[in-house]
Amino acid sequence: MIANVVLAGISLAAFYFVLSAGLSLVFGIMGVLNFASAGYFLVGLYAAWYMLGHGSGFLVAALAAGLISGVTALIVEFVMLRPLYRNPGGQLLTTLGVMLILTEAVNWVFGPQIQQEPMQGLLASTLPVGGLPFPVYRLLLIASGLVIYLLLVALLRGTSLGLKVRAGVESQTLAELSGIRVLPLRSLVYALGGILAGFAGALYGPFGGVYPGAGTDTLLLTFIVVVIGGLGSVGGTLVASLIIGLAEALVGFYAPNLALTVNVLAMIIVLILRPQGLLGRAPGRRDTHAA
Amino acid sequence: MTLQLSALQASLQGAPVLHAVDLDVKPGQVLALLGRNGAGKTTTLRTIMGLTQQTGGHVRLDGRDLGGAPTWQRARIGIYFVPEDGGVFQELSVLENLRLAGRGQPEQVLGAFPELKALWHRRAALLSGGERKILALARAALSGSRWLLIDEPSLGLAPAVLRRLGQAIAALRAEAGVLLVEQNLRFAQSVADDYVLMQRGSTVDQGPIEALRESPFFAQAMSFGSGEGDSA
Repeated sequence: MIANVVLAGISLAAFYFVLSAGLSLVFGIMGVLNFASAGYFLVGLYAAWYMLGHGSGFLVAALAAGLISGVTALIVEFVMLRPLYRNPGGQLLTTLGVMLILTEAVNWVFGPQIQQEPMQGLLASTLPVGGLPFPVYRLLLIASGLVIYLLLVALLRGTSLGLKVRAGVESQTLAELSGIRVLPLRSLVYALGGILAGFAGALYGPFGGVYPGAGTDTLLLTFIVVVIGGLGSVGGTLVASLIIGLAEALVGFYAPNLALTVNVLAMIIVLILRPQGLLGRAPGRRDTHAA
Repeated sequence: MTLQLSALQASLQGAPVLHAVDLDVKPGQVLALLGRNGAGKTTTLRTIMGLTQQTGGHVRLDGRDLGGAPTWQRARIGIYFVPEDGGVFQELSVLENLRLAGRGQPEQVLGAFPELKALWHRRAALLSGGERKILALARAALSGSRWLLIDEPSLGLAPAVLRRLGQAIAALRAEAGVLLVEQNLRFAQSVADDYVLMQRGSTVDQGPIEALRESPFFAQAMSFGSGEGDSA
């Protein structure tokens, strides 16, 4: 029984990681909490649902969903956020506006009702874990989270581009003093955030449902994960996702009404004891070379 | 081949801070930019890099006016700025810091900076102040830049580390012209060839470093009686 609950918690954690990693990176390099992430999540959710309904396989639908959300994010960054490069307040409000516009657009096109996500074959089956059936789909969530984590680590730690991104996350001014053009890096990271949010949207459909409020419903948990992990830290996001996912599954199992409360409490405790998050940088170490 | 500032003016949040800065840095020269706190020395370096808003005058590199060029472009065409704290990426390792700085291989700096070998994989945040400054100068060396702007390298360092820093700057001049902002007068005199004195946002005098104390502006610009003290 408990093994089943723990595995469910890990699968939730994997989903939260995919959902939050992009948000964390975008904050790291742009210094803005990207509300629009919830909109890209929604675009991915509906894109995958639409493709699955038209005969596409799940993996293809999920990858396409990520791509569509990434392109949407890139357009938003280029058209709406780039002109506000030196205006973080304006960027924050713009991302909030993008979230609301995308949510309303989905509501207008597909209607407010919850859609059924057609799952077939192996992904619709279960395996016995701890004496109870465990959905194979949730194993796919765990695998997806693991693969995304490894890909992000390989990108950030193993490539020249990743090194530049990490430099830009730490200090844009120092990065520019090293001859790095930060503006294209910001676009790239923002698009990557969109891809991850869209992919997370595709993963969400089968267990969370397809409806216009899904983006805003998951937004609070995303923020909790990112704040606990430390803004800009992929490793911190992974640790925080595990804490939140396992807490939600275990508390949800024994006291379902307390699950969200426990997560919010965890965030408050971390904010009191370590305001920069578990693996985040101390606030005083942010870009001290900026004009 | 010079880095030339002429009638340079700059402002911070709308308030004029540089009024008339004129100086030339030549290849192989270490030029010390001296003056009391608030004279505009650091602002001059930041304006050269495009980090502070230039409101008048010219920054020319080999005759080409850099007005309007973004910071990353100034870095790419050969001007390297070492800020007061060293300007290294604290979250990155020594090796990663070097990789980001240079066009060459990081190992190339080990000849001039052998102490970095033992620190290769250490995060820069864990380095001592002196080690961080050495890393900053190694990054400057690896950048292949022909013009180095170094801001207060001696700040907070012990005398033994200062000597090492002086050697490092001496090594850098073989490949580049150096504009050095320094409060420690003794250190500046030990590494520089020439001086430029700044006062209230303008350059007021220049000459060979040996003649610094004979400058009619020396006492006023450095804010103490001539010949006394070794820092300002």
